[in-house]
Amino acid sequence: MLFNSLSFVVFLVIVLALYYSKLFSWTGKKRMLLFASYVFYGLWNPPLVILLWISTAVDWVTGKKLATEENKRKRLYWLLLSMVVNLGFLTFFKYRDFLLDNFTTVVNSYGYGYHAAKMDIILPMGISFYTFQTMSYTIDMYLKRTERAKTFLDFALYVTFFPQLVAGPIVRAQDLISQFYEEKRATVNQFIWGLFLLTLGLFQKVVMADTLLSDTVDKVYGAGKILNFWDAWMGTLAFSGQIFFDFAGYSTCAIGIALMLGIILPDNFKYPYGSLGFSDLWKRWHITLSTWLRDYLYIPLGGNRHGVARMYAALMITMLLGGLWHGAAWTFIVWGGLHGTYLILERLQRKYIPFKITAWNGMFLAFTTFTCVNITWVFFRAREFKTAWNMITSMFYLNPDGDKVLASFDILKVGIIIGILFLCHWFMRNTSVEAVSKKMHPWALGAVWAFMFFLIVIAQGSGEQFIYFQF
Amino acid sequence: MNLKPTLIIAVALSILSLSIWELYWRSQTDHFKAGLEDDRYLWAKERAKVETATTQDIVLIGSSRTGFNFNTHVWEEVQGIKPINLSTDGKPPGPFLDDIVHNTSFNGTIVIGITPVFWFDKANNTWWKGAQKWVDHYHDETYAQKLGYFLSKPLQRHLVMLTSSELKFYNDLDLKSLINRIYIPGRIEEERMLYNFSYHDEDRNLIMFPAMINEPNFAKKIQYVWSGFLPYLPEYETIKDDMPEIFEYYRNVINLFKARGGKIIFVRHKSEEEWNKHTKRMLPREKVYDPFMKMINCPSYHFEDYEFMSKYTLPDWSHMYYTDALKYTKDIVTKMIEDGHLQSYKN
Repeated sequence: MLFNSLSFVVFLVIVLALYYSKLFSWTGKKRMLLFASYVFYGLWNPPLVILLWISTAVDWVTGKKLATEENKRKRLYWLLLSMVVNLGFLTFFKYRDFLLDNFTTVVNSYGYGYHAAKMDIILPMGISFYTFQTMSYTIDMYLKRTERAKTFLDFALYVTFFPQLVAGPIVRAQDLISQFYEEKRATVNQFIWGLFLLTLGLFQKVVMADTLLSDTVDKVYGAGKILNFWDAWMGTLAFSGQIFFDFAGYSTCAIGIALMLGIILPDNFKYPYGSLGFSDLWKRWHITLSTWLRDYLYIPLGGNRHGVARMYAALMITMLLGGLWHGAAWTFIVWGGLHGTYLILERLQRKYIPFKITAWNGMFLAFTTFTCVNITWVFFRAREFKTAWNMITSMFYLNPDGDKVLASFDILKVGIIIGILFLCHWFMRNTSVEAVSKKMHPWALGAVWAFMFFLIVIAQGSGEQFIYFQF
Repeated sequence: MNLKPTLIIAVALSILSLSIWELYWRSQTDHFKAGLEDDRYLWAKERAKVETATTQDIVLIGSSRTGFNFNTHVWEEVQGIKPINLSTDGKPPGPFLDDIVHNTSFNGTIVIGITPVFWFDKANNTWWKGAQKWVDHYHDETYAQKLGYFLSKPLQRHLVMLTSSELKFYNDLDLKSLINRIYIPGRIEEERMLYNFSYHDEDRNLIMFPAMINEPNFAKKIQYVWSGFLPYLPEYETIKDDMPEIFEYYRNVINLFKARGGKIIFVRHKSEEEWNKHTKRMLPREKVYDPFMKMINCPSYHFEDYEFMSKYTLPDWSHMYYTDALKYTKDIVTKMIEDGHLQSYKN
């Protein structure tokens, strides 16, 4: 089920009505939420709920065993069981064709003439998200960093909680399961603020990403020809806006919906395009994934504890795998590799050419970071290297006679939207929507809210999927 | 921070602004009318009927001319059977024929309306892919989508402001279409947008707005859009090498359908002026349509061969006005029955 659909509106109203009715005890409400979460997921493809059940059951048993088992070898076996099952599903559903294609290419380069049959496997929605979330529980249990979930119901709800099930935020067990132990009710203000965040998230998705930017992106990246400098840049800038509004929009919706239930989810985006460098960017973009990768990949790989070379290697491996997490294609791996390179270069700069960030050079630095991020988005959006290369060469003015596919209005529209987006991120980088809202007059905030709602309704979102569902 | 006043203000302003918006568009009766969108969801409902259709049933496929020119209610009055209307505005019928032949056991009659530029086109081009998406939607529609559509129907039936289309070349009322009307000259040529010139009933019959015949300038605006792309249709010489492949593809599909007892009737609806001129230039009848019909050996009705098919004036050079379409349907179904290609089930 998509947040930007009428069926979700009805679903949410029913869930909220049952949640705040006096029909259920707290345990009953949790059961209702769990059932609702399976309905939320199952209405897309019912059989794939079984995967959720298997992950839940395996990790519940693993957590239970790890809570009592002291034998190190046995503890490791239980952890491996959890990882094999979760990563096995992920590999089979998401990476099977990619691995097979590469295997075929390598084998055939030795002249074997091997042909693998395509299986046309459906990618279960949000599998990367719930796999990482549930794995964090077993890893934390193994490392004795978290308590075992008190009941199976609490754990199952943690794995399946519908607001963040299919596209995050990826929440750690200690941050979410503990919230299920005692009855939660949103205050009136929390409930209204949750509703505001839901509206804001839908506005980002339906109006900004789908209505104002997606066509420009599709026109440029689907042109199939070498483009003009302006078209290449505007298409890429539009994508930078589209993917931010799409993904941040989902996270904002998720946080808002959870808040309406009295559950607090962590922030996932903090004005990333106002970042001062790439370390800062990854503290602001998809925060729950970057902290996951830091805690469960970068640090176990050695982090910065074993010298500079090992640190850079760990950084690069983390970013390459982070790229692969986003999609089973080499273009995503290159995207991760570019981010790894940026992070390494930034650390070298800090070591060898340090400088103090002031208000004056800060904006220049943020603009430079944003520009470099746009280069990486080319590989993220382009499905093939040929397209990516054509775009990159056009963006570096190497194709001055490239074709024009965008009208003047498209250029103006993207320029204004992305310009405002960048400035907004820059000026908001040390504050939050909530802090700004508190300073606004109720009339002004009410008018902004009504304006967003009006545009959502007239945009008539056609139920476009969120981009991150495919990850 | 007390958010109650904010919420009350937001709700009040939302209701006010949306009411004004709806009232404004309700006043624009020449172009807009509340009703279910003729989208992939409505099409899927119709497509589902093929699963249980019998040998007596009729399936209509074709592009917008089939949607405008045939009226299923009149058809039912004449023959006693209401056809399953799978015609689609702006889409080639090839993928729909392919779907029926390969994914159902239907062995009744398929009436195919031919718009040559759509029919004699290679599979898997842009238009074909657009139609294929509807077929895929039918087979892959999720329960969430079905529920969403069920919930949206009352809203679509009553709110004009929800007028929208998957086809991007209409002046619809969704925000994207409204923004796409803005054009600043300078870089590339403006894409000509079609004014909404029709609505449809829930049986997917397309009905032309009265303004198309009452206001001469309205029809001219549609003609202006056609004349923006028709001259750019390719010459026959440049596409003739594609024809053997296209013919072969259809021959296989049609033979498969005929082998299981199915019957196909082709109808080449009338076109006029620029539409007719450029279609003839691109796909001359004697080099394409006639050899094709000879090859597949199915009954066919070409507007140039029958006076009752060519006597109406088409306001936009391509589609019939509603009242003409009613008479046209009656005449052509009667003729098909007389010729023995259709059986009358009228009591």
